[in-house]
Amino acid sequence: MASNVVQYKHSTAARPVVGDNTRATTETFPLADVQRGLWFVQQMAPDNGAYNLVFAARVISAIDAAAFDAALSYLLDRHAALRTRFLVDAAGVPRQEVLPHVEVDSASIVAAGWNDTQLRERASADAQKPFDLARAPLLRVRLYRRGKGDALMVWSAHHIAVDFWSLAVLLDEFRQVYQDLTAAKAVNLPPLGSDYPAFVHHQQEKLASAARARMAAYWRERLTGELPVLNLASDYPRPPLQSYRGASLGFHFDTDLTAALHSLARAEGVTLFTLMLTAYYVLLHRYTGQEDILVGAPVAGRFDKAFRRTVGHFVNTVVLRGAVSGEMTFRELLLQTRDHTGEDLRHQEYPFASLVEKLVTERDLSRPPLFQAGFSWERLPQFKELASFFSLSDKAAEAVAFGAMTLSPFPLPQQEGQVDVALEMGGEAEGELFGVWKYDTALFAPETISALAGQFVELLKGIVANPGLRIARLPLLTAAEREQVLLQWNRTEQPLPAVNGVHQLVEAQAAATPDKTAVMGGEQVFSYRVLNQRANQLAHYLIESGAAAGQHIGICSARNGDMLVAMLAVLKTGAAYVPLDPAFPRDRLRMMMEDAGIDLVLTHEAVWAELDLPVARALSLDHDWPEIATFPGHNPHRVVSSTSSAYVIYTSGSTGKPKGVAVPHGAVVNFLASMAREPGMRGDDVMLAVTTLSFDIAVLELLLPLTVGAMTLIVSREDSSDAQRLQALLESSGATLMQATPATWRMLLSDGWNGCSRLTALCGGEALPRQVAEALLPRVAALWNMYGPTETTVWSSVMRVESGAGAIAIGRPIANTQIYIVDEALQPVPPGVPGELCIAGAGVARGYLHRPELTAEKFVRDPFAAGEARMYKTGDLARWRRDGTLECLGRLDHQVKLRGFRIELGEIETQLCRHPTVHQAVVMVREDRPGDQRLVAYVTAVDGEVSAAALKAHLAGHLPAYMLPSLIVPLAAFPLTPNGKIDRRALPAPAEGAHAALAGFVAPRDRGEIQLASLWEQLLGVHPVGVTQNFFDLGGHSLLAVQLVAGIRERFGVELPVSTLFQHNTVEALARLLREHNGAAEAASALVPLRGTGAVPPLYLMHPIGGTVFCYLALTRHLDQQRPVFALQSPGLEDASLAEVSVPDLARCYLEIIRAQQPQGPYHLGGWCFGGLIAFEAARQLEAAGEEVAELVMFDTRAPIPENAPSDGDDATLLSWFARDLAVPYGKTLNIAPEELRAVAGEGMFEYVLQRAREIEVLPHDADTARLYRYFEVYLANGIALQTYESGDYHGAMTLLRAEDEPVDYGPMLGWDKVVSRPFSVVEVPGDHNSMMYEPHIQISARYLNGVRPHMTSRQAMAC
Amino acid sequence: MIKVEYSYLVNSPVDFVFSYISNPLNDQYWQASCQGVELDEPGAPIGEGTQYAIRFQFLGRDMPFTSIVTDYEPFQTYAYETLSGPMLFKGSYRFTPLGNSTQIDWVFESEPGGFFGIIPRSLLKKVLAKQVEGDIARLIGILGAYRAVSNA
Repeated sequence: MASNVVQYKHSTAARPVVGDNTRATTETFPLADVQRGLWFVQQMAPDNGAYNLVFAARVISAIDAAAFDAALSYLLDRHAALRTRFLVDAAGVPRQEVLPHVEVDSASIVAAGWNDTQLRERASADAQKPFDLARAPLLRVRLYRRGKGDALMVWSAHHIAVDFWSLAVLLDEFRQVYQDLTAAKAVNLPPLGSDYPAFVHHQQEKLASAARARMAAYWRERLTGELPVLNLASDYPRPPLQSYRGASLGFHFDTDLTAALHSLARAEGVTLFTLMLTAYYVLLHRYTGQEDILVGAPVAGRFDKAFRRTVGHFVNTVVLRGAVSGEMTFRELLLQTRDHTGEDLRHQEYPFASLVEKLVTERDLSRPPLFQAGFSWERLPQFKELASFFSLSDKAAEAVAFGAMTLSPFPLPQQEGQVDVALEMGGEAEGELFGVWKYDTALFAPETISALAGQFVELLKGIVANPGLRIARLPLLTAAEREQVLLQWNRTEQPLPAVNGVHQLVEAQAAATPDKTAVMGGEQVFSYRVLNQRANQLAHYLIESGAAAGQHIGICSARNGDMLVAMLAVLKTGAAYVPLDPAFPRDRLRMMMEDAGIDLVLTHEAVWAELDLPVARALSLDHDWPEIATFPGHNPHRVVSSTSSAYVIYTSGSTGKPKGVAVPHGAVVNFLASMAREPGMRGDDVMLAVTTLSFDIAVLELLLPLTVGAMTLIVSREDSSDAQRLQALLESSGATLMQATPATWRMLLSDGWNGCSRLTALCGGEALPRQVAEALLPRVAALWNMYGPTETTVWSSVMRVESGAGAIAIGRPIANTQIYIVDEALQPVPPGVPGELCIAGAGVARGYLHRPELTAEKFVRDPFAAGEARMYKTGDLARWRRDGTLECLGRLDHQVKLRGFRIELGEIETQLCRHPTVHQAVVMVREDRPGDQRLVAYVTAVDGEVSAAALKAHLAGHLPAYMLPSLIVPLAAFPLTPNGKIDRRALPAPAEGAHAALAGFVAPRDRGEIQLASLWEQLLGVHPVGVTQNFFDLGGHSLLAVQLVAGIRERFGVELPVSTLFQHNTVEALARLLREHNGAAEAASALVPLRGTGAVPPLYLMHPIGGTVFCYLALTRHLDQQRPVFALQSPGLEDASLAEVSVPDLARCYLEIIRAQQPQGPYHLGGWCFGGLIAFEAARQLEAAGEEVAELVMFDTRAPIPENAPSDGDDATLLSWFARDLAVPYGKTLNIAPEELRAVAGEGMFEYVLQRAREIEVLPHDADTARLYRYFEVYLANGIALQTYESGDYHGAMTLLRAEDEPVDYGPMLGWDKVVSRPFSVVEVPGDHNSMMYEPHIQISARYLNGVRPHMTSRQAMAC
Repeated sequence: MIKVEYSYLVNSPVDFVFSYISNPLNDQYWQASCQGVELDEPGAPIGEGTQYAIRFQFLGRDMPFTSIVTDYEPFQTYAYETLSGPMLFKGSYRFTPLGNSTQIDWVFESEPGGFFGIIPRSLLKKVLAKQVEGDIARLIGILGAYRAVSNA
């Protein structure tokens, strides 16, 4: 080992010389496996600083600038990793190169007058500046000088070159070197062990061994099954591409908690690491409800002592998997974690990059692969004295002596944005554990992480207090948060009206305003007095007929005043009414009547006559009225209990059988009183009632006005479903309120409704899309969003909607109502975290009629209230916003899991609705074919037309790939339930054609697509590649993506960022991008490498008459993999002026290109159809030039003899051929006779062909006419060349592959026996002239070319 | 209007070259697209005013024409143009003796109109040029062979 002693001459600041580890020349070597992932990330997002390691410290002593720089130089000379840069070789494989010498990247910045905040901001920004991995060094040091004895020293290094351990080594050595240099002493560091290249070599050797296979098997088993994607609810929509932008939140635990954690770890026999990891699992479980949690943890990777002082990136990431169940105790999970983690760490050397390649089949660039939560536990002895320098907690730390310097902490955040959320711990000072939460700022607001940090402490306190507690029962919310979500946001107490029955509210109003008009409907107009009187008469009649509490009376009425009379009358008797909408299917009505035990129906003569349903008695409100009118008109003296059912409403059940919800009087009274306050209703209001009585929201429309002295105008079904008529009514009626579902509001808007400035619009029943709200707001006086299930009495939360962005909240609970967002264990979840929305309070219904089990399941005891209060579990997913309003996120059962991804269908629907052409959207997972689960979107259009392609593009710009529907099905209208909601179950299965169209294989269509498809096939080993298939679906992964980019650079001369592939992940999209990017470069070469490399001489294939070479893709696939295949494509396709019109010129031109690549023979040439002719001529020219042609293969090429010439080869004939060939790659037929074209004549001929081609969908969607016309010009030029070619003899080897199924007979040798004088081979291959080049027939030709020639009909032909 | 101009050297004396080219009957031998020629007055000396019927096949189309010799200056110039046919064309030759060789300057103009349908003029011109090049090569070959024979 050479001397490591250097002398430093202070006065000259000479660069000290390091005796070892320097190299005179550069050397390159592969990346370590652990570096590959980092390299990929930096290629994908070159502007990210997420992997910059940072050390910052205030230097509160003098700094010797010369010694400072010299010490840094010394370190660069000493450590190869600091002189390393990262390049890509010609094959697209990254390599690292150690340079013999690299200048230090250091700078001194004058920061006089900067305060700490300014200093921190500037230093942070500088530290986070991205590194260009192709430039060494990947370490930079900055000194921000505020004044004498006051500077900030910041080191930042890219993680690919320096890991945390290395940073400690560097700082330690810097301390020593700087001290020695300033003291003018010899620097005498201990010699290094092995260097980083040695580690790479060592690692490769190790991982090539059986140990790697064992580790691979372990991880395959450990990470078996569907891998979960962490579904942390974010504050902001997840961007399609991971941002790599983050922030940090430092924290420390107090001494009590720290001590308790140590104590628990000791008691349970686990390390603190295991304890904290387990607690982290629990936190993530409680936040997401997921039971399968993956967490990534870095491991130091310094197994060999020889590398203890080596600088480089040794860190690997281990994926730890926690199986968490709420039913387990924490202790059980802790032991499980201990066992699993121990095993995991024993296999920690298996490279994370390899895991990703093996396990991640569909890379989602919106989030990190495999895990989205990080957990780091680092305790480096080297950093003991500097530990506090990495703590972002607000604890003050003392200055420390650092060699010749005195440092004090000035921690800067670092390595942010790598994952969604990360917990980094390991440091402990003064009996307090400290650490940092890191999070992706594109996803989370600081308050969210701050809350999470507080909840983690709460959780830990619960754990140390009782590790035997079930995980579901462990505390999570802080006391303040619990108080907030359970009490503060549910403080809704309001006095209830002093009545038992709903009808009493109306009776009181009738007494107060007897002569005011109460209701208009049909031909009827009733004042309050008349309405109440008629209701009383009917009630008395019913009471005499035996009506009483507990009974159910059907109302099957026309929509007029009698309907209200009937409702009130039934309520007055103490019985419950059951709405029977005459428009409902008879079977459904019959079933409801049977279920409710209805033996009396209040109806109208004509209505009932239509239905003809079996019932004991149908009392006609018109025909029988004279008899009813004989009964008294005063209020009946019947006492009705507030707990008695007022009505039973049937709602859809998941089994398809409607279930009856029995709603008590008290709930309705509370509801009406609450609604009268907010949204509010006054005596001069006019309510337009448009909703069927069978939908419980009709209660608001029909009864609320009667409790405040307002008027109800009952709208007929015909009027309410006709936009024009409804608009007219809104205008003419003087309506001030209307309540409707979004569907009805949309109907009005679609019809061009201008709005009504006096109208308060209530919207409920379905989620109110922002788009609809924004359209309504300028058209109405006020807009309210109403939320609530039938089971808690119409609406349970309301909110006035304001203009804005994002999802519309459902507001706050109404009077005497509590809303809880809970997890599966009915524990409240933190604000922002989704959970099931549960409703308690005065609105809770009695339950489901005759369904005690279902009632018990859905109506549970309110765990947050004393006594026997009940709570209804809605099955809706919702969360609290920070302002105490609620946001509904859809149905719990609308949250689906597809290919491991948890998907909120509502999110996709929202995005679809943001597209201007979309009216409504429904997204669902369908499995119309067993095992074939697909995300299908149904849309209706604003103006009758939507483009599925445009919508896909729109979604792709906003959603991760896994959320993109496989199919988008436009519908004229959505099927609706009887209540006017979208009937999801009635959405049609997509037509088979739609499946086929989207799943169908589309072959490459132009040179760019062919080249790309060929490259993909080469990289992915997938054959064939269609232009619409996704690179990552086909097995592409990070490094393959890098190689693809390298291939593109090589072939197209275009430098693309790797991330491009994720948004342009099909051949079609990429080719389009490349066309836009650099059309000129694309046109530069006629040589298309179908397989660019191989060990045997290449085969050159000449284009057929169309000029393109896609016909050779299938052949290439089946040819010997060691055989390079190049195809010659017509340059005229890109530049018509380059089209040649004679075969000799074509051959000459292509030979120039071929000989530039392969200057000498023997040559292997071939071509299909006309391409065979070019190959033949090229062979002749080579022969004339004295070159050897080892192989000339003509695929069904007809000899250039007069007998083979078409009888008429004019432009119409050539255009007819062109049309035919357009369709061939699609497996379609487009035969247009030349006569037909001649009849069109002139310029119109070409457009005629295009039109016919469009009709059978054989034109690429982005094909422009100019390009196609250029293609046709090439076709014409080649056609002319074909017709004018006069061949001579040829004496070399020649094989004619003749299509044995070709119906047109050109003779057994296709006329070649009349052209060439020497014997040649004729081989019959299956297929006709076209199909012989495609699957499966092409395999036979390929086998022949590969030298496998059994069972082939071959003959040796002799010239005549 | 499509116009092509060619200058080329034939390794034969001008008298021999002029005599061969200025006889329309020879067109069918050295012009690949020419299918046949009939003089209106067979046996009559060729000169200005000589009319003849000539038939071409070009780009898959049959093209019958009647043409007339419009300029006939022995060993110096020769020109012709169509009187009828699917389109109009005319050509002129200038012969310049260079020792035992002859330089030929040839200008050919044609107005194809819509006769060739949607085949673009750029392509027509290219094809025509290619055709001419082939014809010239053939002409040189023929004249060379003739000269060899005549020298024998």
